[in-house]
Amino acid sequence: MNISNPDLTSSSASSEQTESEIVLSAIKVKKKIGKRWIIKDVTFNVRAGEIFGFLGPNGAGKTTTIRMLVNLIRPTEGKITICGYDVTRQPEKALAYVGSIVENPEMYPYLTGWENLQHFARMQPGVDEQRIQEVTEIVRLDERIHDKVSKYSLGMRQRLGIAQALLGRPRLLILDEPTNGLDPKGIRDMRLFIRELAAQGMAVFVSSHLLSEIQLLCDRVAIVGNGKVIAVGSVNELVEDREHLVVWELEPTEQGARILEELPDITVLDLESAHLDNDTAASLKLNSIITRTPEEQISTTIQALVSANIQIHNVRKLNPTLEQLFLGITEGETIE
Amino acid sequence: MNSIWPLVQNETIKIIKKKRFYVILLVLLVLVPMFTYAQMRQAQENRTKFGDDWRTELQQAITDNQNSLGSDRVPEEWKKYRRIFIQQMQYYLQNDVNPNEPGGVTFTREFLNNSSSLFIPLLIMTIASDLVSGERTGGTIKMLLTRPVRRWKILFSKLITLTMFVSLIVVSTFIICYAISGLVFGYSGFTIPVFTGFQPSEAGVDMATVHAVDQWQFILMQMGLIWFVGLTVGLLAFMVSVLVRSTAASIVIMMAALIAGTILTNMASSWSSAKYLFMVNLGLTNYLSGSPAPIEGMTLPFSLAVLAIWAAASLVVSFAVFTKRDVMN
Repeated sequence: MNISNPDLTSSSASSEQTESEIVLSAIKVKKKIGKRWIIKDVTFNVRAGEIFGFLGPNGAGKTTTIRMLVNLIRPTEGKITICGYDVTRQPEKALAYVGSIVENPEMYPYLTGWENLQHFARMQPGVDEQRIQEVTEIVRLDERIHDKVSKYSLGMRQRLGIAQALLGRPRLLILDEPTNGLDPKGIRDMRLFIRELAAQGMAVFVSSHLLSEIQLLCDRVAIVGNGKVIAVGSVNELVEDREHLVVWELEPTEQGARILEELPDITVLDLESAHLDNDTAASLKLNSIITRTPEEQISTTIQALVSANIQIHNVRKLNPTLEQLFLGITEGETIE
Repeated sequence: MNSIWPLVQNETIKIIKKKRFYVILLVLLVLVPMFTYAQMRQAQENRTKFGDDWRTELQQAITDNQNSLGSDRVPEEWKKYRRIFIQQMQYYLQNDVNPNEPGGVTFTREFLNNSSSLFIPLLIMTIASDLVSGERTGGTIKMLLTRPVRRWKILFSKLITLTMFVSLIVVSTFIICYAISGLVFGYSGFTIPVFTGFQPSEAGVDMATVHAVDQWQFILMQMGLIWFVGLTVGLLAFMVSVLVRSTAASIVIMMAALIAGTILTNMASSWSSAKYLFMVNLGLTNYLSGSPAPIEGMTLPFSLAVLAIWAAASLVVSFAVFTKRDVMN
């Protein structure tokens, strides 16, 4: 990492003893469009070297928030700073530390990949041909870099977008749904790649509507719904706290289900009220019984089933889905 | 990021790689030979009618127009135009100067004279209408505005590039016109005298200020005026392209305005406050050759002022909107 700004070196030195330096901070950010508050209260910090997930269902305000982070939209209230610079007041300073892809990586299709990178290199100081070559190699696009972007596949465009974002040696990388449209291998590569960048000290901000993706990738996560950040914390913290769903495959099924129902603290759910995501729902068999079971009760329940002569073919915990997490977090709160 | 030139370089590369400028050159390369051919046919026809004597030809044109003045069926409007035409032609005849001395240079002068209010503005729109809306249609505006450069600087770089291309279009029109028509009519004629300074007056034309200039000087003045018209139209199209998301919509809006201008110019005169609209003021070159203004009270300084005000206003709007607006998609 090449730090040329003297202010920055000093500020990072002062905070070294505590936690690593805050690269991105959003404080009570709000946005009103027309008469409607689209973003009601967004507050979070992202530190150097961390992968920060921004998780929420579509329409929760993720993209609007990201657009505010990179000065495409001006917040109505609140303050966003990047490396200490206010994004609205000093965009030319703040944005020098950011590489971003907002929604799709849209580049000029009539230019080659290389020409696109040259174009964006001319917009920031200290990026020379050698750096363009470097980022091209980092995203492994060197073979096709002199082809027109109109001939690129979606995955190649995504990589070119990342190359573009890395050009200015940013301290913060903002990626909006980075795995959208990628195949499973592409998704895995992307994950490894993001981890590598974070290991080098870059702060990475990733938005997603898939809990599993955030769980696999992120150190910390902010959960947004309805224009508000409803929880910030480490992913495990947020997930572990929740009650788990447990799936049972028993024989005879009817009798097993009856026993489960009779046990205290266990609720048998139907497929609808379990709010499963598609992958999990597809993995269920016809005779699967979904229950809400406290973790510590699982072994006692198994004993009860065994002593009633029920054969247990399968017992497994389900990862909570975003929707379940949502229900859990907002439980007891009043939702507007 | 201090220098604006790398940004201008970017914009220039985009216009060229997007092949917008080639389209303009192509249009010129197709249309100019067409007009040259038409002109050639007309010249041939006149030669068979009047022989090689341009004086007979000019006298015939004057007589034809004089005859039509007596007719009741000709509207007063037209009569005014014709009276001015007759006076001008008589002036040429008295001074023994052929107003239509055949040659590539004369053809170019005529072509420039006719292309100022519609043809060249259209060519300029090809570039100006796409400058900002093209970035929005393609989604690249997000990449452009999230780089550490102030928004006004990005818009300013586009503006400089536009000015450069307006100049380039005016010069290319001249070069292509001269090069192609010269093949047919010959490349001489830069020093032929052309009369300018006809002042429209109550009686027709005031000859007091008329003086002869070399044809190359006349063409230079034409190109200056066309450049100014082109820049004004360019700035207006630029503003529309800031305001409208799609390039297609932006082109249609400007086209409608320009065509409305030519229609209004023909309907003319009765609605006198129409003279404050930019689109009826685009025929600046007509003031040089001395054709009457479409609406009472229009003069060269007046038209220049009207265009300048429209241009300045569109600049203000462009910058105000572009630097403040939220980029939602």
